[in-house]
Amino acid sequence: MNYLIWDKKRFEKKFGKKGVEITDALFDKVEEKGFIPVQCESEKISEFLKEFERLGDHFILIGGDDLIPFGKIKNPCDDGDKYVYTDNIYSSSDKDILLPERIVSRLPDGDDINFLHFLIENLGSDLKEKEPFGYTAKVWTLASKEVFRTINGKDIFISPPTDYKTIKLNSNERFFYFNLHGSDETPFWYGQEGGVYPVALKPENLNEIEDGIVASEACYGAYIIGKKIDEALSLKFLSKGVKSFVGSTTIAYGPSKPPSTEADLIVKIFFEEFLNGKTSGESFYIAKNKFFKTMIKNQGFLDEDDKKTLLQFVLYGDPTTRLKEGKWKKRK
Amino acid sequence: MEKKEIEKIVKKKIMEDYPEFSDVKPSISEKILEISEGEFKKVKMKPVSPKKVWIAVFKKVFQRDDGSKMVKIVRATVSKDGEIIKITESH
Repeated sequence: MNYLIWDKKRFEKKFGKKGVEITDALFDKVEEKGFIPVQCESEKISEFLKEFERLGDHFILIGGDDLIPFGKIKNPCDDGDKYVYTDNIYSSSDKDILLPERIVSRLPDGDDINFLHFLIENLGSDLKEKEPFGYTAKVWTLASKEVFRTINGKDIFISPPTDYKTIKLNSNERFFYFNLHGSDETPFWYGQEGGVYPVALKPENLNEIEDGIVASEACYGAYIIGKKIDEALSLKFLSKGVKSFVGSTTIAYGPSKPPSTEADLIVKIFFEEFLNGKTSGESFYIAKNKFFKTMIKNQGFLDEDDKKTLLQFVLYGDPTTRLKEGKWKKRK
Repeated sequence: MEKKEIEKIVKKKIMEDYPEFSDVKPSISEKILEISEGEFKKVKMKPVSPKKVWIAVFKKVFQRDDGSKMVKIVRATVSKDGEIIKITESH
C-alpha cells in the first residue's frame, strides 16, 4: 500500500483552512490511484506507522521541514555541519537509525502549495526508458564514470570546461546523475579542477527537462530548509516533472577514483536497483542496506563519513515510480 | 603507531594526491568505531567488534568562481598500523 502522511495541524498553520480543504480534495483524487492519506502528528509518525504497516508499503511524507521536521542528528564528522538532517527517523522503527526498515520519501512544499499539489497530482506514474545524462566535477571524473556506467552512460559532461553557460539538459534525458559540488548558501552546483570551482549548473539550466529521476552527490544537494523552488536545484528538478530525487541534506563525501564509496556507492546501488525494475523507494531502501553490507565486508567497520552518508541521503518525490518497461535493456 | 608517525604517513599521501592541501596541518584523532547490534540485525549480519582507527581531517577554504566561499575537506581513515584504508573528500 502507499500512504500519504500529513500533519494536518502543522499544515493548517502554514497554508490555512483553505489549504487543508483543497489538499483534502486532492487526496480524494489520488486515493483512486492507490495513495491513502493518513493524518498523524509529526512527532508520533514512526510509532504510528508500526500499528498498520506491512512489508513493502511506501510512505510519503507531505511537506518540508516545517510540516514534517527532518531528524536533527549530531554530525558524526568533523566538518562544517553541526547536525545531519535525515528522514531515517521515519524510515527506521527504533533508535538504531542508520538503516531503514521501511520505504519513505518526502514531497517537499517549497513554501508553495501549488508546487506541493503538482507533486501530489503526479503521483503514480512510471518512467519510460530514455537517455542517461551525467555531469561531474573534473577532479572526480574517474569515480563518476564508474557510477555513470551503471546507467549505461558513456559520455559524461565534465566541469571545467563545461559550465552553466554551455551545459544543455533536454527532454530526451531521463536518468540524471550529478557528481558536482554543492552549497547551502547558493542554489548552484559547481565543478572543480584543482583550486578552480566554476558554476556548473543553475536552476535556469533545467527549463527544458520534463521527467526523469535524479541522483546527486552534491553537498547540500537535497538541502531544502527555508528554500523556495528557485533556491534549491532539488526543488527545481521536482517542479519540472522529475519523479524522484536522491540527494544529501548536508556535506557529502566521495572518493576521487574507484572503488565507489560513500555518496558514489549509495547512488550507484540506487541506480542498479531502479534499472532492475524496483520502485525508486525500494531502490533507495536497498541502497542503504547494501551500502552497509558492502562497507562492513570491505573494510570491517563504518567510519564517521560512512555513517553520515547513511543519515544524510534522502529521497524526494514519488517512491512508487519505476521503469515502465521493467528491466533495463543492457546495451551491447 | 604514534600520532606523529600517522601524520607523517598521511601528509605524504595527501601532498601527492592533493597538492593544494600541502600547506594544511591536519587534525588527527584516534577513534573507536562502533555500530550497535540492532543495525546488524536489520541486515541479518553477524555484528563486528569495535575497530580502532586514526582519522585525519584536512580543511581549507577556497573561493568559487561566483565569489562564494567553501571549506573543502579531505579525510583519511588510517589503520592503527598506519595503513591508509580510505581517502575521501567533501563534495
